[in-house]
Amino acid sequence: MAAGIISGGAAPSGPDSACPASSRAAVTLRDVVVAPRGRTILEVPALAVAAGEFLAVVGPNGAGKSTLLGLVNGLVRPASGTAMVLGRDMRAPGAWRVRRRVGLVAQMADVDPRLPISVLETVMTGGYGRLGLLRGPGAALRALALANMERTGIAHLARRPFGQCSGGERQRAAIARALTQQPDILLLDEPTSALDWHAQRDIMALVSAIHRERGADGGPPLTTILVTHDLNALAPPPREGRVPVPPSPVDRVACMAGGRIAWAGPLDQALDAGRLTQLYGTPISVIDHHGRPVVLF
Amino acid sequence: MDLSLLDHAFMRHALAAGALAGVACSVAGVFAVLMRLTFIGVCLAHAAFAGGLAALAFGLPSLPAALAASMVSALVIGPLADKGEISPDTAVGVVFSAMIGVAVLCMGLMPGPKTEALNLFWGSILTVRMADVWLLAGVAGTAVLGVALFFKEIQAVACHRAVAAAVGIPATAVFYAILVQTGMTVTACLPSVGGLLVYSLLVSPAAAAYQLTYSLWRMFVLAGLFGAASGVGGVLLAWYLDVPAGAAVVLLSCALFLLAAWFSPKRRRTGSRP
Repeated sequence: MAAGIISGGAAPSGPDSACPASSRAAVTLRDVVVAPRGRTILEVPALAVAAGEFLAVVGPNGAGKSTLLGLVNGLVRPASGTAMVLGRDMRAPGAWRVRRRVGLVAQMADVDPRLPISVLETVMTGGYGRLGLLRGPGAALRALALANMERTGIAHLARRPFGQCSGGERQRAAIARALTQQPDILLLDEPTSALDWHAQRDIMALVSAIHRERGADGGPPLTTILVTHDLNALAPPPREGRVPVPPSPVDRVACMAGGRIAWAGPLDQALDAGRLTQLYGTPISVIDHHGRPVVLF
Repeated sequence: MDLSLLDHAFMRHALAAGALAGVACSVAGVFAVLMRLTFIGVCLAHAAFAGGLAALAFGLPSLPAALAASMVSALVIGPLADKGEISPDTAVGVVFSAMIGVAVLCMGLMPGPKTEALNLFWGSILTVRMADVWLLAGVAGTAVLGVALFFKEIQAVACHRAVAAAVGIPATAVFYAILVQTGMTVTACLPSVGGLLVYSLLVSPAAAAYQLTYSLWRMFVLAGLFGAASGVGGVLLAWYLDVPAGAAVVLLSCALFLLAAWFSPKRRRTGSRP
């Protein structure tokens, strides 16, 4: 991680706490400005995301959350500043190759139901970048894709046309595809939007488990950046009977507004009524429900 | 069946040109249909047509100019459509009208009979030379080879372009390669199918195949078969019924599309009969 931009990550703070304490950063942004057609839509003086960290990004529409993900994925080019992702300068030639190590789960609402591609083929797409040109997807990639479909609960959909899947199934397929990339960074852009409550909870539990497992299996840790409007999805799920629930995987929350990171800090401080009211510009309450914070608006 | 038509060299050329133009257009058409870029096909076809006419007006060979015009159009329209700077409808409207304007202007400047110019407009598949057939064979072969070599990239880009870019596939390069291939196809088809009719051969076979399968490689195969059947069938109709060959090719491809749409399993599945 670049020295000098790191401050105490767990401490309650303003924009400066966009930099956690960590020995190694997966993402480092310094004085980054994104300004398509001359209009600044993202301005980040300093942000570092540690390897293995789970960062949630919240904020109103137009806050710059998706642009931030695009920056990390290399789909958005900074106009100025320094953006380092997995050690690669994102303004340097060939920076797009970093995408092979960054899985992106975006919303796929507008999909033609007649599209000639199966769910398995969609998931296998995740491995094509690493595979390179002129190399056919072999049995190993197919097995990896099927294993990730099994992991995300959609193995039975392998041969179904992708366009004929429900919203929840598409999101699971998108997650399986991102996992097939074998990413070092996982980006999730509102993965639970347009899903019913059950599917939302399932998807978030899946994301949490994937992040936790990668950290626990001794391999390189998975850095996860989640953009969401659903603030309640960040808290641990409610307990069902006596079954213990795992804690929230979220290490840090970044609140964005107007293309800037307005605040960053731990989850328990992020879910603060005053902070959220100011962030969204509308009255928001946070109540305690059996020890679990619930955001109401 | 009377196969005496094969005794005539012009018919052998016409049948070969019809089959090859059908295959080449169909492969390019699969991209156009899947990526909803049929408007780019219109623009490239008319740009090639106008480029060819401009060359004729100045006494230059038409095909190189047609290729250059379609390439320039691809390189202008592609980024505009790509970045959302201009809506597809607007791009079609502006480029289509501009190219028609250039074409009419060039025809007005041409002295004497305008037979060669009209051939670029309507095509003249019954008078294609062996060199035209070889050109079509080269374009069709390039298209088929390209699909075979880069199928996985093509599938990713054609079905989910944004996802393809996000996973590290050079999606923009693949997109422009598709545009270039489409421009080459349209240019090679000018002498046989014509600048006005090639658009139908570009879209109809691929759109017909799209109705019938959920597999991309099957869609390529079906589109190629429909395209070749349209080309060969149109020439045969012209021979036996004494009708204009270009029009017969196009109408046959449209009829195949209507049949495919009617029997489409996709339509039955969604239950939306027209």
